[in-house]
Amino acid sequence: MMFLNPWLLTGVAAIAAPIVIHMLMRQKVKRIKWAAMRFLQVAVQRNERKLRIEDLLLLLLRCLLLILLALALARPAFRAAAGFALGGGPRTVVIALDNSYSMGLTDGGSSRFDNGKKAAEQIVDQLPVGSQVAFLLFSDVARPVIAEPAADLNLVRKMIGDAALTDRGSNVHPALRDALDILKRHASDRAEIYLITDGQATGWQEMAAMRREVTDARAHVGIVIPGPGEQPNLGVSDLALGSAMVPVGGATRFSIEATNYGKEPARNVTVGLGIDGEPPSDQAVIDSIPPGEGRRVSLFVRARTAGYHAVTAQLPPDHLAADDRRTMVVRAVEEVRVLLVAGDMGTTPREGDAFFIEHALAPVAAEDRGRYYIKTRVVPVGDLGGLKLADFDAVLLVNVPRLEQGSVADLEKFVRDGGGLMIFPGEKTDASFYNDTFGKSLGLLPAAMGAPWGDSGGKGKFRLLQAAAYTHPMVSIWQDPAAGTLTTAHFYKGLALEPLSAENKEAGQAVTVLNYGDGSPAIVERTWGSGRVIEFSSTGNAAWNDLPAHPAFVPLMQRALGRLVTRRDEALIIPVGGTFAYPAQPDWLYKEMTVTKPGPTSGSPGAGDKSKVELIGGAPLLQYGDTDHAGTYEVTIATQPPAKMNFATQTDPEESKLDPLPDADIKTLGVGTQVIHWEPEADMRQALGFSGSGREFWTLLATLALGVACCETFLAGRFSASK
Amino acid sequence: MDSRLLDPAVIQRAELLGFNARQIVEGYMAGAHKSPLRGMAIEFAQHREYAPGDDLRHLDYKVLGRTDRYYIKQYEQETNFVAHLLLDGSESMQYGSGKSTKFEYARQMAATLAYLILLQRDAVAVSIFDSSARARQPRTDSMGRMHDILMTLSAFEPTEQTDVARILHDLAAEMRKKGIVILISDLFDDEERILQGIQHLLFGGHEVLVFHVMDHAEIEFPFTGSMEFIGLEQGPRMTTQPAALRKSYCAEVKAFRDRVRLACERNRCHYVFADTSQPWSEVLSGYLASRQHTGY
Repeated sequence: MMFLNPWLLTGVAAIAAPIVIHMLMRQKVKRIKWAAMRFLQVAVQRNERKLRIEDLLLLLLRCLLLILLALALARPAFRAAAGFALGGGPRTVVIALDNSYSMGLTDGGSSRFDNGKKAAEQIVDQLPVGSQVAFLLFSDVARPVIAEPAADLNLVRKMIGDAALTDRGSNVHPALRDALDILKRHASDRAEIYLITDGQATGWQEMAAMRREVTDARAHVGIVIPGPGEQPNLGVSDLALGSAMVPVGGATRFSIEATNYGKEPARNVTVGLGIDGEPPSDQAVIDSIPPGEGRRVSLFVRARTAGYHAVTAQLPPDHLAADDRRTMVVRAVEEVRVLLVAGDMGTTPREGDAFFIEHALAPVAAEDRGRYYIKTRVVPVGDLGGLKLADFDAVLLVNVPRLEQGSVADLEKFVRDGGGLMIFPGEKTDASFYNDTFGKSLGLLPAAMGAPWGDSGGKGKFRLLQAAAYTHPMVSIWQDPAAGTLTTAHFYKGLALEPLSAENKEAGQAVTVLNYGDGSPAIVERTWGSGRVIEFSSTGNAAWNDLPAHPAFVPLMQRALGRLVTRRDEALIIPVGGTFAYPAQPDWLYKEMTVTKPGPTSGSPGAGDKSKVELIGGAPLLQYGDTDHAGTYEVTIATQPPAKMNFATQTDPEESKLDPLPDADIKTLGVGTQVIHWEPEADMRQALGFSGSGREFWTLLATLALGVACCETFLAGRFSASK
Repeated sequence: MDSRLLDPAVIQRAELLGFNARQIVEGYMAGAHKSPLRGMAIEFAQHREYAPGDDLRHLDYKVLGRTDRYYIKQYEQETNFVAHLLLDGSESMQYGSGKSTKFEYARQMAATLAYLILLQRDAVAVSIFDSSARARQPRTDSMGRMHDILMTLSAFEPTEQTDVARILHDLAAEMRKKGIVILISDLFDDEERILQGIQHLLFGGHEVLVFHVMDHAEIEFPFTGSMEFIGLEQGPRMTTQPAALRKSYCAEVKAFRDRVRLACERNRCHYVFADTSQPWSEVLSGYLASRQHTGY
């Protein structure tokens, strides 16, 4: 027998307490002079022996009670008999429980995660006495719950019981690496790792590295895969803004992709779209989704007010709830102000460089332009210096030869603060000015303007835009042939664009939005500061191409403007587990920020994580990192009145793929790796090969102590009755 | 006079009831009691030598003139009785759980009885004893001596062990004429010996009246917790849990009281139990009323 808390055995010394109390009580005895001593003597003589026995019995019971309590607290346990399949002595064990959202899969009853917790508890129950256990939770990251092996198995059980599911993806590697690190720090000849995971293949993508580490550590790894097994699963794999922007009151299109992750075709799948937590306002039914494939639908919602709105796409509930909904946050705008700076205003408006772009951005009759949400203003380049750029959301330089130094500085600040800049070359464009000033100096230009190609007069030779693979969000709608085509436009002349690498920390990577058919870039963009810059290789009018004459020109221009205007809003959608970072208004600095997580507590007053708006990188920034759950997070800044905004987290669709990695592949992790498919009714001891255990019996002692206490109380009451 | 020892209300009540000799006693003065000696009423019977306390009105001056000796004339028919008040002054009487000790209680009874007896022109002698007579007031029928009686009762402080039987035997040997012996005691002594003493007195034709005084705590034993009892009259020390012994103790006390009471009754000796929680006046009045009613 051994004691898990041997230091508590010192509590046995407490048996001195009743004796000391007895002695003290003797000291405290009341004294009285007494005349009728003869009768008292007779009574004492008659009862003396009985009284002494009773007192002794009570003293013994009280001492026994204290001994039993001390023993129970010391947690005695029998040593397990030698001869376990996995060794008979105490072990050092790391239990890592997968809490990625795929563990939320149910068969209508308990989930994989619930069963995983039970499996973890059973593993703890079967461990020999004296074992130490560390406990990790892992998804795509590993988080230690009990970072160092603890002998307090009740603590481990409690931590297992308290473990919660997240909406994160899965990756076994970080957990395995941390587990091996723990065992390295706590060298033991009986070290084991138990990974409790659903075994989906997506979590084992770093198998080669894991195999190497396990082999080096010579660790015993048990993989426990709790049920239920595979189930049909449909998920919203994508939700994207289909329209260029979200105008207030206007119908805004969203593109939703529903994917069938099951083995059987899914039929009559209803997809709904709602805004701000309201029931779906638009629905579509997808006739059939083949296994492993996705289908897109476009649905519309209207934002009634300006500001931030949560838009949620949802599918009917199934066995995996986490991917049945997907939320994004958009910013609805009352109006978008665009400044078009034309290198040549022309003698008539139609001859101006910005004519086609202006009409593409505001494609309504002249009398309706005042009510249209995109407001354009065309100015000659000479007027640029006299304008306050902060009054505009985007500035378009159309065939502008070069700019004054002051205008360059204004534009630099404008883009840094979140404004959008679009550059169209033309005959007048001084490429070397752009390359030197916006390129080399500021690192703002997405691509260097190279040598011109083609001849605007030679109508026989032209380039076409790429015909497929419209992956960039600006042109993704043309992935659907029903949206029209970009390939009919002829480009006779242009500047060769050579994407530039990021030269400074403000510059993002240059991204090619669209190529010509020969693969050379036609449109390149880059983020810079808080803004974005889009650079075209050809003109924005019909001088070098006939694109303005094609229907695709209007959506292309609007979507390009949308890319500029929604630049900031990209930060409103982050993956689950990501960090929300959003430029704050100057007056929010050091104000309290309350973030309410999605879920049942979101509506309760006072709920939410509180922090301050800090100055980060020289600018006030809203920052929040505890985003383990998908959905809408509400941010409230303690201003007067309180400023509110939302951001959304989205799950990784890869986690919805429930295909398991075959056991044979998992077993290649290392020599002796066990794979156990476990159901709650299964015997974990048998499954793990345990043949015995050293069970604690403190509960027995505690029960005995309770019995002794009851007995003592009863006898004390009975004995104290008058004799 | 120590007025604490005499309660006017009690005396008034008791006076009405009177204190008659329960049986024929041999007195030495004309009184309200029938003498055992037959003859004409108020007829001279004999002389006896004067003793302090005798009424000088009965002094035979002729004999004094002739013989220069003091003799008292005695008559045959109506006679006074002599009541011997024996008050236990042993240390055990010092116990008291309430405002007063048993001794204080007992001496108040003794004082009242002495006053009543003198009031009806009978004689009384008072003795306070423990193992022997410690303080005495010789017999007297003069109310003028009441002050001395009260002073004697007030001045006494119990300190010694008791020996009731010895006192009773001594008194029986001393008393030549029949009278009333009133014993006021807790009787914490050998019961057999006490009974023998009483029988000795009864054999001499005396009427014996026992006032058995006990403190209420001695009867009920109401103590709790751990207590050390220090015996009075050189008794042992004893530490015990009184609550655990209450039943046994009370049974023992009751048996003792029953034994004493039965022994007294068998010997035609009046037994009056006095619990100090009861006002002594009630005990006394109750007894006197009972005595007058029964005439016995």
